[in-house]
Amino acid sequence: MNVVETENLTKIYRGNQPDDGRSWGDALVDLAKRAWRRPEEKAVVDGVSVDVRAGELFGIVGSNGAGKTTFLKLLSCLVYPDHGQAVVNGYDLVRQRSAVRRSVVIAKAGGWMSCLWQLSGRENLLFRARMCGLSGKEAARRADYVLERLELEHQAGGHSWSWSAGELQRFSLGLCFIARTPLVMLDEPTSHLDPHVARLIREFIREDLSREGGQTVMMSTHYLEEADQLCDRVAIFFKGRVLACDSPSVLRARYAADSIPELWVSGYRASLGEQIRKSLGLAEWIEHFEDVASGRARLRPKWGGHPEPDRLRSALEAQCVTVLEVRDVEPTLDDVYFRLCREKVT
Amino acid sequence: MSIDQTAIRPLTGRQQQAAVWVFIKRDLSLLTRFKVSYLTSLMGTVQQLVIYAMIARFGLSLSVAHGLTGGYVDFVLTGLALNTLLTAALTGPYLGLIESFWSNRIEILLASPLRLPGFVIGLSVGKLVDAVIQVAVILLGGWLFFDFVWPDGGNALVFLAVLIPALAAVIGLGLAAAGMVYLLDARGGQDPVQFAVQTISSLVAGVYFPIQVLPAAVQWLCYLVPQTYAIDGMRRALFGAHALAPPPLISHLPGSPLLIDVLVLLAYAAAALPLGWLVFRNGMERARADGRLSRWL
Amino acid sequence: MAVNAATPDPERFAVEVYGVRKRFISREGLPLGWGFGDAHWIISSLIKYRQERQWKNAVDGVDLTVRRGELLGLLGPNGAGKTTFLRCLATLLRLDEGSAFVNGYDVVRQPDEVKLSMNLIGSGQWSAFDWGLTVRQNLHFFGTLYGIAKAERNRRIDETLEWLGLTGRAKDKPPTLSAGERQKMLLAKAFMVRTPVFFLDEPTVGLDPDGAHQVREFITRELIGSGTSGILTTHRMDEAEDLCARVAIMDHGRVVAIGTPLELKKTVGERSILEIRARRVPRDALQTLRTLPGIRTAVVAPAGEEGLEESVRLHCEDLNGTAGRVADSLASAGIAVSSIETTQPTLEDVFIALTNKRIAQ
Repeated sequence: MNVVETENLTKIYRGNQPDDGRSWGDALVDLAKRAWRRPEEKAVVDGVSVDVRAGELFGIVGSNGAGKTTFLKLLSCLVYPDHGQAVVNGYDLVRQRSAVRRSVVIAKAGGWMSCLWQLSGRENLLFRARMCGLSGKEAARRADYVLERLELEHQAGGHSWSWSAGELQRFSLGLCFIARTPLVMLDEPTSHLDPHVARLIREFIREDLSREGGQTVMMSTHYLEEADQLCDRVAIFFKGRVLACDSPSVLRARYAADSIPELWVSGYRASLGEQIRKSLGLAEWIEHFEDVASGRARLRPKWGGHPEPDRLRSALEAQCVTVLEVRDVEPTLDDVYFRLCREKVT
Repeated sequence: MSIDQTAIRPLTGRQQQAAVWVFIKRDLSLLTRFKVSYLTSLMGTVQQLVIYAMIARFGLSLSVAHGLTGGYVDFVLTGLALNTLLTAALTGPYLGLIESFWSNRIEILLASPLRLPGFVIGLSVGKLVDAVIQVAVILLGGWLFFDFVWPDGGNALVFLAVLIPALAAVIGLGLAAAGMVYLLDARGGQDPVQFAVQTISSLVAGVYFPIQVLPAAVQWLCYLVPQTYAIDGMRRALFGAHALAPPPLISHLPGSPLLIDVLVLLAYAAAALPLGWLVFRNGMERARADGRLSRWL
Repeated sequence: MAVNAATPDPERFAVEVYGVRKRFISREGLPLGWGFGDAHWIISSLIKYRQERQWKNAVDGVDLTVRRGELLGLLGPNGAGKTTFLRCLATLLRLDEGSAFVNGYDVVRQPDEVKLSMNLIGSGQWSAFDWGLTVRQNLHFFGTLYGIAKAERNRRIDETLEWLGLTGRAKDKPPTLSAGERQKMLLAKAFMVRTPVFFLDEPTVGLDPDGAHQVREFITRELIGSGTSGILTTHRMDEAEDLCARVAIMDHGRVVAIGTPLELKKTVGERSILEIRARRVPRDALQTLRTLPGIRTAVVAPAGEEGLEESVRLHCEDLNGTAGRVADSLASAGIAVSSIETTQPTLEDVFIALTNKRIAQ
């Protein structure tokens, strides 16, 4: 059963956004300028057709500006599409907007304005619960559960102006959870957070929202390891289009090499990287220093096709870098993303 | 890219000047970004100009200002022009500081080698630039269309002797108001001191009508604000020291009324400017200690 | 009172910090933006000043040095005081105790020279750019503040924009840039002025992998390559390991550990991390594991797809018998475990071990 089905969904932005403080007189001037010289149209979301099954954790990855946020906004009716159709929770996106709006909840990146500053944290949760039609006792029970689960008890009485980024983010997640809608959309839920809080949030999303709650979660992120770890299926966005959409293991099998050679070297310096890369004609090269002082590093070459460890080894040794070990590692979603996007660019 | 350790010497005077100039350029480009809005707002100034020029046509005989060849037009337009300038100097630092506070511009400005005086000038210069344009509109418009007579008996040096202390006094008050923002952690809203000074000054400084017209019970207020002396002194500097009858209190004092105006302004400036600067710097140090320099700090 | 403990050694050290403390009054909530004219506000703030004030040490006795040509990483949870610390070094906050020297100049006594020697880049600064001016005009504005002459400015702006890949966007206004481009714009503003010391406050936050990689490459090539020194704050362990020769971990305003990543991993102990792979470890089983003796903390990486395994990393004080206890506990909970083995600690494990606390204070 598909909770979301989109077909050829498109959103086009025309020209620059208007500046703040523009009066209608200047708006007329801008309009005249636009009639004189048509600005470029840019398709921020370009013919996207994806399906999201019920109860799955769907990941959306892509670079900034690839259309992730706009896609989520389209599905939650914050922005209207220019072409295409979609069905969300059984309601048509264009014709049954209010029904769609009632059945989804979206959490913005950063969680900035999700809470009312006039109410305390717990009161915010209760307010949202009551707005969604829960009874007083049920609302209180849910709110306490959220506070305990997200480790927010100490901030339950505080107001949103005094919270840190991590607490803001968690409160906005908690509000999504309380709403209990069939579809939950999260825009970069762990982007500005430290590892402790990020892990807590990931556990919460996986356990409470997706597994136990049974809600369908669409999550946009640009941490590929997060998408790899958490999501049932992942859609890779690039310049408004979906390059691939499947579960991480299938994507890895289809788009990345079976294994990637990883070289452990010593005596390596960052400045050598460019030279070696160019001389071998590699598209990219990832260095991971174990010990900058001694130059012990892990090198992962990245390119599509079959890598040749021997050429690599001789190029390194020519630069007086000792190759300690060559290991084969499994590709990650990072390799998939890299391969798909670089192919698109070149 | 190599580092240049020899570049670590404080900014020269020329570089500081260039920094202030770039603030002016920035404010100009921001002002004129929306050309239609800006023209519309200038219309407000033109509206004032027209109103008073039309009032002048009533044939008001200004016995007080017998020396002004243009009559009421001369009187009121010079008053308007200087009042615009002084108000901009009064509110400039405060508004500039509030805007920098909320946009976090303060963080970058204070972490750059710009020194505090340059920083303050940079904050306040925006409003002043706007005021200069408005003054040009008033005087030019008056001269071209409404029989404003350029003063020929005026002495530029004397005029500056009035203008500079006046600006200094008013900027001192403005700095004090801006310093209050940090001292008391106020982050917006209407500054009561500035509001009071502005309102009072527009009523009693002799901008639209000579002080003698006000009811005697209220006339004592006129002598408190520096704008009164500034506007009176400026008219005398432009049109002649005795072009107007002196305000009642001053007429009792010996010596030329112009001289008295200048002396009072100098005293005001000597008191207000250092005081304002102290308040401002004190406020900034407090904010720096408390971590309140900007919205995000 | 600032105590001048030592004389600086600018030849060896780019940044020296001795015993720096910064206190904040803990402020209970008046909401922001109350205007000057509110009577209620004036009265309550007067009352507030009369009351006893609570102090909170945001930076609590930090000692560290950054060698010339080194990039020091500063890791720590949100609220550890990293941003406050950097701002103290940038002369934006007053030190309550201790002394700090940037490029050999005293932060308290020679702030002008310090400002000329360093550049602070933080993600909160992007709103400081004028939204009405183009990127290029903004960069000209900031360049003039640093005293760069016009011709030189033009050259440097072109160069920096090209390095960062922003040349196509030079004529656009800041609100139209994406998050990654905004971050690069901030970096352009700082790199245009070539100071010997940089303070980078989470430069890749909010950037996609491509953008983050470009920024990291830029830092490696241009900063470390040319011998500038600096402090980098980040949450991403892989970034810290890649870019920084040494890493300092900060928690509650103190530096709890400092050293190269290798040294730090050794402090955790080569063999004190147990990794369990299992189909599904429910939350209560995890709680039980956490309470077992000998286990400091348990961290789970949940698996996405059905059929894949979750991995739980346990930090143990002492491995003797712990593996057995863990296996028993999981078996009694009925969880099928596919493997239990000891693994190498990562920098993230070090981080967790040193800042081991529940997030709730």
